[in-house]
Amino acid sequence: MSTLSARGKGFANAGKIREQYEEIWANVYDVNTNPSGTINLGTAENYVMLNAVTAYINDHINFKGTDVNYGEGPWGSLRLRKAFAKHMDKYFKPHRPVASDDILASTGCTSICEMLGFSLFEPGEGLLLSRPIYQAFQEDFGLLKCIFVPSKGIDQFSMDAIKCYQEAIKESEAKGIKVRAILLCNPHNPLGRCYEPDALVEYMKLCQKYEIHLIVDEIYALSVYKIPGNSNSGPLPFKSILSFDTAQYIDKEYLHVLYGFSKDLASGGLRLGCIWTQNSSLVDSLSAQAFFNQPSNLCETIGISILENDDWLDKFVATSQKRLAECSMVARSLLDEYGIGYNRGASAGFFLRIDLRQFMMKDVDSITWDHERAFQLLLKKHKVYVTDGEGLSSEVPGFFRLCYVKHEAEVRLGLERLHEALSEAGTTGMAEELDEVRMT
Amino acid sequence: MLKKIVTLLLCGFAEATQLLQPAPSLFVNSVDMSTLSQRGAKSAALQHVPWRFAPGGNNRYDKDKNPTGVVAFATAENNLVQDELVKYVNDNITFQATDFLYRGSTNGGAKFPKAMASHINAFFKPFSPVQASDLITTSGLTPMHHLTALSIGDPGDGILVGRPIYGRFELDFGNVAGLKIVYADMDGVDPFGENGDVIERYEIAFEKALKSGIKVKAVMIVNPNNPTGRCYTKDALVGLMKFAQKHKIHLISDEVYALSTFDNKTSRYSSFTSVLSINRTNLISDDLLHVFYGMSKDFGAAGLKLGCIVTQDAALKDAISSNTRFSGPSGMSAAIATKILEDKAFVSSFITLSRERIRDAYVYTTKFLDEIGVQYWKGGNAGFFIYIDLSPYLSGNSSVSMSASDNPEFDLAQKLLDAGVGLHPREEHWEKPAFFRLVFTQERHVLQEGLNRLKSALQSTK
Repeated sequence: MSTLSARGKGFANAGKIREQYEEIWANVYDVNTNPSGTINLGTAENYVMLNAVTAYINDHINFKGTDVNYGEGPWGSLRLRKAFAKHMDKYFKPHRPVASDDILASTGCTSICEMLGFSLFEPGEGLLLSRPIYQAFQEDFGLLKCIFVPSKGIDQFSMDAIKCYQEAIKESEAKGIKVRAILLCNPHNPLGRCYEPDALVEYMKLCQKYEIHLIVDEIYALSVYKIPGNSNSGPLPFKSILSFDTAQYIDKEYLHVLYGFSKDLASGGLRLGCIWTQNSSLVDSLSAQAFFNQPSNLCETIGISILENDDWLDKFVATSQKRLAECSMVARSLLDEYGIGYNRGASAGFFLRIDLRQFMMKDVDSITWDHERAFQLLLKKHKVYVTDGEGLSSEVPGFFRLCYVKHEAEVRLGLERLHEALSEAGTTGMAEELDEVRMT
Repeated sequence: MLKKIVTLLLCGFAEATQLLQPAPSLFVNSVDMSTLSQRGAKSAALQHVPWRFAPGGNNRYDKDKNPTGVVAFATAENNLVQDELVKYVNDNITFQATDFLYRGSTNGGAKFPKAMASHINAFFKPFSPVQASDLITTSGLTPMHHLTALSIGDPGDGILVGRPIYGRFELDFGNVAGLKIVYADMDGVDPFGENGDVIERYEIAFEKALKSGIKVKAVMIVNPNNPTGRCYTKDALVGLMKFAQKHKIHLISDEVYALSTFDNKTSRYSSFTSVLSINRTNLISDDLLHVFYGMSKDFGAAGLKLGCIVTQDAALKDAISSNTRFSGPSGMSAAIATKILEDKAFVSSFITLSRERIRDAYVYTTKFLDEIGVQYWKGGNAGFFIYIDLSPYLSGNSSVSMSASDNPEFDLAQKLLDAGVGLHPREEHWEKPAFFRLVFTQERHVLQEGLNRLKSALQSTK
């Protein structure tokens, strides 16, 4: 006899992503203490700046009595919101100064997505997402209909891709699904590229036309890098949506921006993020949920200390971008050595999209999602993890996401293990693993 | 629907000055909710009920910086030990790199659950030891209430509680999860089991709810009780366990004030007993008994935002865990709490100190109330508050300006607020009017100032 509600039962059965990570985190590779652990090359964290931010916090923090109390309210203290605003003024080149009143703080962007899901959508209404896209969005917004928009060979960061979204809206409406929002991840996870400015304008106009919301997740805003001698035309620099005179293109009720500490500031454990919005009724609605996602006051103090220290932060960002480039070059050269294809045009984020198709199966066009799942089992056996394309809603199986912003030795060993797994796949055709996948 | 929202918002507008610091754009000029979902608009409107939030939070009295501010008697913080706690944290904490990672924060990281389980085992005298795996951790108990609600009830289902009780359960269980709090009348019976048959009160309320079409999914107590500072007798706890088992509903014991107890020599009432200390064999099954606990009260550390459910119900743990990433505790808070809890000598001396100071403040406050002739729930031996009876000061006149309905309790609360005293009307849902929870765990000079203002304000109502 179940003691749970109907929706509780749904939640109890839904734990796939969580269980996968719990398993990995329970047996994390460490060169000294756990060399047989799993090397995690699938979680997008900035491991190479951890010591810098940890050292800074340990040196600078001096908590006050009020830090342990309830604080000003669930939207974050005024000082924190001002600090976020100033940070955006400095780095996002906004068209007009960002107002602290337009910012709400929360326990990370994940929390804000959940709240937006409740405030902007009835259950079953539609959210348009790119393909591929960060794997958790499809779970973060609640019981929505997530519509993954295929770009069918068109460069999805260009203006040309807008028509794919327009088509997706029309198709959804024809099926009786009301589309309520488009979510753009810019810089993009997992493709590591930035949207063209013209494209951003077109998305705003599209949303205005259909009276739907545009949610822009800019969490990787400062996690951009330059690969010296990159033979492509050069990566597009990041341009925040706030840098446009957005009033020309979209009503203020429809535009929302997400940002936080987890990526640019290597502080996912801080649980601190924010939404920028000028929709006052949305703020009102978010306030009814904000108590469930209220940041810790001590973390607000830490966050304020980071954002207000211009000198330290400038150096941190510059160092981070330098190290992102270095890590990317290491990963690229290793991938080149192994003959693994990847998206050379990437210039942002902590990841590359690697093409493992030819190793998984000789007849590349016959690869199925079962082959991906089988390969994940093989990777588990070889104690290495990369994010599968299925989870990322890739259009075609066989593309994985490699997160490489770690110390070189670990990335090197991880790719060795990956390569061994690929070799085994080539030899055995993953027969055993495919059987296992097909049985479950 | 829109007209109703407009009315509530306009009434709420006047209340905005008494709210906790408002959300940045809460002074809503436009009432256009058309860009929101209906459920989003509805839950926004729920916040604008008059006196929904504790008054005075954004205009707090400070002897030097804000002498005309409000002495906030309505927020249950323990200000008496925060300096000791912060000093300990500043002197002893060194953060590790893992605290900044997802794995260092999710579910409290690797160490906090063990440290908390060990703390509970040391202080709650559990019948069988609590394991780290019995705990799920979120960013405070407020989100834990919400996640529990999502998991055990469907919209419209009920949670049965006795009167009086903490007033914000209706927000925590209701705003998103859509559960109703069903308040059981005590009708002269002692709510904590000292006289009369309190379980019968719950049976009556359960039947009444059933008849009105509400499926009750859990019975919930706060023990030690908020707002009265009283503790349940062991018999009452056993009775509640049997009651829950009989109806196959959950029993949730919110024990967040477990260690905030003090020796009240004038009290003949029970001291604190945890449900965990009772041998539950043949009383209630493991999948129906759950405890809430956290760092906010006993350690005066609401700012850490760490709360736990303690349960052996695997299905409930799975359901809650599915959603904890939305209300994830921070790695830094987990690191701080772990350090505190693992230092048993510090915990022991801190709790002892806290109890002494709570007791001193209780004695001081009750003496003052006795002198000015204000009645209150006697015999409290826990918590930060006294539940006071201001019904003699109600006036028959009602002024409509502040409330959607005529209510002399709101008028009285407004008079007190005007006099610089923040007390929250009707928040704890007692059966009789004009009872207010007075939080006395403040710095002595603030407490004195507030009590003096209360005295003058009450005198001027006569």
